[in-house]
Amino acid sequence: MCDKIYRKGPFSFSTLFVAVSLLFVLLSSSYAEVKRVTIMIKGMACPFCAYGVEKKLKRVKGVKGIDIDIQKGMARLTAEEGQSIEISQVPGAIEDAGFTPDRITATVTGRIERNEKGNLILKSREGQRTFNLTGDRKLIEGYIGSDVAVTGEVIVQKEKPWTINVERVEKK
Amino acid sequence: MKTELFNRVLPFLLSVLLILIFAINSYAHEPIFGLGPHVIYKGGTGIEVEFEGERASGAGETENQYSLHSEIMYGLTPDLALTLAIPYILKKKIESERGEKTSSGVGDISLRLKYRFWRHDSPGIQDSAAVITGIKLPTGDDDKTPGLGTGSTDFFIGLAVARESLKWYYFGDVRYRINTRGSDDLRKGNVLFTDLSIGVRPWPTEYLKPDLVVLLEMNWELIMKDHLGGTEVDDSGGNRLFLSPCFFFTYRNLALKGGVQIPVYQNMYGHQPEDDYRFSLSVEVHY
Repeated sequence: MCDKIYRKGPFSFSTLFVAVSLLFVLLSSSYAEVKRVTIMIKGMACPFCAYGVEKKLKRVKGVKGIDIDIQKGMARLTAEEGQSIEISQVPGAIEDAGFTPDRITATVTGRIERNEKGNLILKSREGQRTFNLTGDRKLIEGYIGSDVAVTGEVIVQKEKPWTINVERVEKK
Repeated sequence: MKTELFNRVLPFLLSVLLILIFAINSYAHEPIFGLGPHVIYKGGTGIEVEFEGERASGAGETENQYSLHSEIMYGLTPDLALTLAIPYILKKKIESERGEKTSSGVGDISLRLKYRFWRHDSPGIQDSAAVITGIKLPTGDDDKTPGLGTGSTDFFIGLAVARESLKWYYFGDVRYRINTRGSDDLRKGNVLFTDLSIGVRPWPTEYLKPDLVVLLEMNWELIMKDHLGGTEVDDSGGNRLFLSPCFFFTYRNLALKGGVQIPVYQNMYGHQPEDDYRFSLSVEVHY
């Protein structure tokens, strides 16, 4: 009965399923994904205290690897395979651990586009997160429409899209 | 023999069990005998198990006490923590010409609230200050001889400040304990505590590496006179100053810390035993 219904259209159910899956994979690869994050942490002075930082950062969505450097006062995060680090949760995790989050740098993959105002953006996953791009405009414009990995300082702004001050762009 | 086992081994095993049951988090570096402004992070629960001992002699008697303190802390916010402290007196012994008396059991349980009202973070340095308030409940059996508690509900307030850095540690605190009337109409004298500590990390450290901090504390106690039925007790009150070398060793989520309080000055009024030493050794695990 079901087979009959699905066979009424020009494509079979299995063909449609494969086509949708392929489209999803292709689109996913072009969405912005936060692959690596480095955050400077003010006030962290001992390894015993840093354990609290590790515990809180482990709860950030998409985080797999955590490398804490006490002497430099920073934590480096790497994303799980095929996942994106939920960067908005990172400063809060540091605050909950009892320290002050400082400069955040990140490597984000995605597609560089122009928005309706003509500003350069890195398109986010399903449009949920958009990063504004600043820095060397000529460098960024050279990659419009391309899937890239952008590295730079993330400027956090409340109730506004976050901005990446682009330091490096690599074509994927 | 069975009583001995119950009184000494069981509390220790219970404490170890508590460590394994609860998720434990660091209280970070704090003075061993003084108090620091550190609080546990938001939502964190922690336990510290501490073995303490002290000896006092003079005025015709010698007092020895060994106890196990378990502290359970909960982080209500990143800056506000609630602590429940449960002491278990393993052995309290008083020897005098009249004989020897020993007792053991749960001591006076206390509840503390610590609020870190100021914090300034800079790279590798944290400066902070906290106010502490607490209540000590008369849970220790004061009918035993010697008594395990004061039989009174007491209160305390305090202020602690600290600077912690990759190399040096500085702590300072002032605490005041207000004692109320307890058993036999006795009101123990209020006590003012003042502590100053300096610590150093001899070798630079990294995360997931062993870390040692050595501290030197100076602890001063000013004890007011006791009152019995409204009358001042002559053999009470005084002041004493301790110099206390301490250490704080950590490896990832395991900490071992301890110290000895050595009295360098004592002026106890009337006929009272004077402190010979106090020591503390504690284990802290978090996972």
